[in-house]
This record gives sequence, structure tokens and C-alpha cells, in this order.
Amino acid sequence: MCAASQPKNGAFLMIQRFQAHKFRCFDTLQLDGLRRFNFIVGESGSGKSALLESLFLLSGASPELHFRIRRWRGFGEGNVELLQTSESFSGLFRYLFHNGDTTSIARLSLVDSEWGKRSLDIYFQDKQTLDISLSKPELTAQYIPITFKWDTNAGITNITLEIKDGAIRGSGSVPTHPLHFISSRNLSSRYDALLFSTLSRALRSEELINAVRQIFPSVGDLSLEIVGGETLINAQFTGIKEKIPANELSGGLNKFISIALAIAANPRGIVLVDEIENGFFYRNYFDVIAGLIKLCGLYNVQLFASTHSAEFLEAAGRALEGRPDDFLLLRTKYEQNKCTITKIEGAWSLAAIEQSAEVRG
Amino acid sequence: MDEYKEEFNQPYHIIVEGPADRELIKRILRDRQIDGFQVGCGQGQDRRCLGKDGFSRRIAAIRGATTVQVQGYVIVADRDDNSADRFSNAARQFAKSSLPKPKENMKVDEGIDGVTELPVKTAIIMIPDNHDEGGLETLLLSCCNGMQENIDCVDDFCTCVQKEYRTKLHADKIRLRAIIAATHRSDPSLALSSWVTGDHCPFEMKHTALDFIADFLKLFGTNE
Repeated sequence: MCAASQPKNGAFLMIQRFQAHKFRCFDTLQLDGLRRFNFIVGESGSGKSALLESLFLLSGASPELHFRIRRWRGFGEGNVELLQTSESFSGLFRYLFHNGDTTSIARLSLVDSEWGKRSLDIYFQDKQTLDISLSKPELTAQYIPITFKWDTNAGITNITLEIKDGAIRGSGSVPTHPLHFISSRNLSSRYDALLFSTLSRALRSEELINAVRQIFPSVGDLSLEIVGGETLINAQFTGIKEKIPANELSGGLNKFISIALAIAANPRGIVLVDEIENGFFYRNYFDVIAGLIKLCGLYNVQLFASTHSAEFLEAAGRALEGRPDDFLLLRTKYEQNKCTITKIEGAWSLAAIEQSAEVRG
Repeated sequence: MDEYKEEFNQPYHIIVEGPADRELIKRILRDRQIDGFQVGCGQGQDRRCLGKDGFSRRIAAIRGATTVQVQGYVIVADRDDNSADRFSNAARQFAKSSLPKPKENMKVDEGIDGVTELPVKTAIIMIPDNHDEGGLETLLLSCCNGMQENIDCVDDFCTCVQKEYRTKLHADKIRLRAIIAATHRSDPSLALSSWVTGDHCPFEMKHTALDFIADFLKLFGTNE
């Protein structure tokens, strides 16, 4: 999830190229010719989520996104607690660097069709060592601050994270890239309600509701209701005399609404979905992906989605039949301590999917 | 649960017209211990082999799914009743797939894969090798020892029921079908693809009539 600005001139936005250097499991990676619908496949731990998270971090406004990603990955779900060791600080960022090598510069960059190049360098300020202020001076430890340096069409922004008053602090922000990320762990009813409200106020919720009805025909209407003090998207179901919170009733419905909202609330933007098939019944895969592709077309959205499911890929292939130029398969692989990505053009990957070939690696 | 997916993990691919060709070539590779090859046909949405029109589809599928660098493609095609035309069709499908276009039967063409921009070789094997017409069935009949009398009976039967053979391949299909029906004890309607996977008399998998395929593939699969 990420608040996003919109392209200046209203043109269709698409990330065309992505590069990573010494970032996470990527030693050197260059992906050119990205398409409208990019599906990422590969074994667990081969870099599928890392690719999506790279795009998310690069598109964001501040290093705070790094902490969100950590939480989605199950790290530090409470407040970050710093001990009086330099490792306590550097350890929070160590795995942003390839093989944990914090002496290198982790670099991400993309080129899109609208604003051109955007890059992010992450590095420890090796010439600067600061003290961790503690109540007892004799326990003072030293640490090296870390810098996130964004280079966008608005200029260069350095945000250095330091420990101040016992907390990690940094100031500044960067213009965001219009991108939403739905990780496999971050569905948020509150955030979805916020997006739905935005759409509803702009009288744009009907298209979303229609898309939901295509897959869940028993849904009559969606609306925001306060339940237990919390504003939630509620669904009216055929045959049931009261509205029910969408996330209470069906994981699939909730997931579809989340993705559809990310698309509808982010016109001419980019949506990333990790493990897109999760929560959906396999017989609904075609309707789900066809519905999302239709919404992406309606709102001019570029989609990056990872999946483990051959059936889901097959459904995507059928939904994009005859549109090989809109489809790209990215196959990740982990070997010799690094993640690599093989790009397979739509003409070939769709042919392979159609012929029941194993395209996931 | 996902249905079975074919994995493409060999450096050499043999592309055939139908399931019986596929099983025969697989059997030759297995029995004669020729490694590094994968065999298959281009399929339609119903998973059926598309015959001689499916070669380029199979190449596209290999490109989309291979996990190793493909070093060579061999098309095995029936001569039917027009060997030159069938060869041209196979060669055209290589060219359509941006691969080197072989100029002669059983001659390796080396070049660059226009998509991957990596070196690749291609070849076409027309079957049978000992007739100007025919196909897989013609080749298999060559591997049936001591069956000439039975074949004569089939021909007599066809004459009797005023069934005319349209082409040599058509005749050989009828002859082989009749021989399978007459010689297979439990299932007279056994599919040809199943027949070639077993050790059914009078068919001989080690027959010299199949040597030309095995010898060529052995050579093709080496880097010499």
C-alpha cells in the first residue's frame, strides 16, 4: 500500500525497465521490456517477493516502507527495540544488501513511460560514526547511520536514518510513484475502507461493485458501515437480511475487493500483488483474473503479480489469449547465492501455458 | 491440485506429428540409451497432437518453458504422398520460428536462434527412409518380420470389400492396423502409440530399419 501521486499529463504509465544491483538476493539484475501484465513465477526463496518489494520501496516516499515490508515478512511486528550495540541498528537493514554486505551500495532503478528514471541508493555512511545516546554514558555504543538516496525527476533527496531520543529518525520525503502493493500478508480492512470511501465519494464505486458481482454473483451491494467502532466494507448478500463485513464472510471476496480497490483507486498506476491466487477457489481463477484484467484496462493499470499456481497462470493465459504483447512471464531462480530472473515473452509463455508445459521452472 | 505439466529440461528436442511417433522415438531413445533429448508434438487446446501443423507451436512452447539452453531441434515428419512438400512444410515451420532452415533431409543446419540469439542446430528426418512415400506405419511395417503373407491377406481383403488404397501411407495404415488387431491377444483395438511402447510380436524395436533414426540422433546430440 502506498499513497500515490498521479502522472502529470494523464498518459498511460508503465514501468518499462527495472534494475537492481547488490540489493537483497539480487547481485545484478536488469529487466527490460516489461509489459502490461507481468506474472512472476519460481520456487520459494527465489526472489519473487523480493522483486515486488524492490519496486515498492523504490516507488515510495521514505525509508518507512522498509519497516512495513519487514512487518509483512514477520519481523518486528511490535516496536523496534534498539540495544546498545551497533549491530542492533545495522541489523535492521543488513538484508537490504546482497549477501548482507553492508559495505556495498544497494541500488534500485526503474524507467517508466511518464517520468523517466527513478533510482534509490541505500548505503551506510561509512565515514560517519555516531553515538547511541543512552542514560549511562559508560554504556555508549557507536553506530553508522544509513542513507536512502532517491533520484527522481523532482531531484535528489537524501534521507539519513539516525538514532535520536531512543528512536530511529530521518527527515524528508520523496514524490511517490503511483504504485500499490498487496503483499500476501498485508490485507487491511481499514485501508480498503479508506480506498472504497475515496471511490464512493467520487461516484466511482459502481464499476468496482460490478466487477465483484461478476465473480461473487450473490453480492448485491457494497457499502461502508461502522462495525464495533471500525469502518468496514460490508456486503449485502442475496437471501441474507443484513449486511456482513466482507472480510468476515470470505477470504476470497476480501482479497478480490482489496486488489480491485487498489486498481480502481490507482488509475494510470501500477499494482503489485504477491501470491495473487491465495484465497481464491481454483474454479474461480479465470473469472478472478479476467475481472482484474478488465479493471486494469478500465483504469489503465500495469500489473505485477507473483503466483505459485499453474492453474492460475493457465487462467491468466486464457484471459489474455490473443494479447501476447501484453503478457510477460518472469521466472525467478536462486542459485549460487543470488536470484536471477529469466524473461519469457508472451508469445512463448502463452504457447507453453496453452500446451500444458511447466513454465514455473 | 494442478494437472501434470510437461517440463522442458533437455538441450535437444524432437518434434513429431502424433502420439505414436512420440512413443516410438521415446522408445528408440530409451532402448538405445541416447540421452539429452525430449520428444513431443504441438498440441491444440484439447491436448491432442496437431500433426504436421503443430511443429511451430511445439517450438513456441519449448521456448516458453525451457529451463535449460536449447541446443537443437529435430522435426520427424511423414513423407505422406509428397515428400518434397512435407519437407518444405517442416523447414518452413523452423523458419517461421526464427530457427535455421534445413535444406536437405537428415542434414544438420547450424545457425543462430533468432529469438534467443544463441547458437542452435536444426534437422529434419523424413520417414520412412526406404520409400519415397509413406509414414510411421510404413516404417513400422518394415520392423514386422515374417508378416508379408499377412499383409497380402489384408490387401486381398481390401480388394474384396472394394476398398481402394488412396496412398501408400493410407495402405500401410490399414495393413498395420489389421496386423495389430490380428496379433494382439487382449485388445484388437490397441492404439498404435500403446503398441510401440510394448514388446508385441511381430514388431521388433531393435530392428535395423530403425537404425537410421538412432544413428542420426546420436550424432545430432553430440557437439561434433
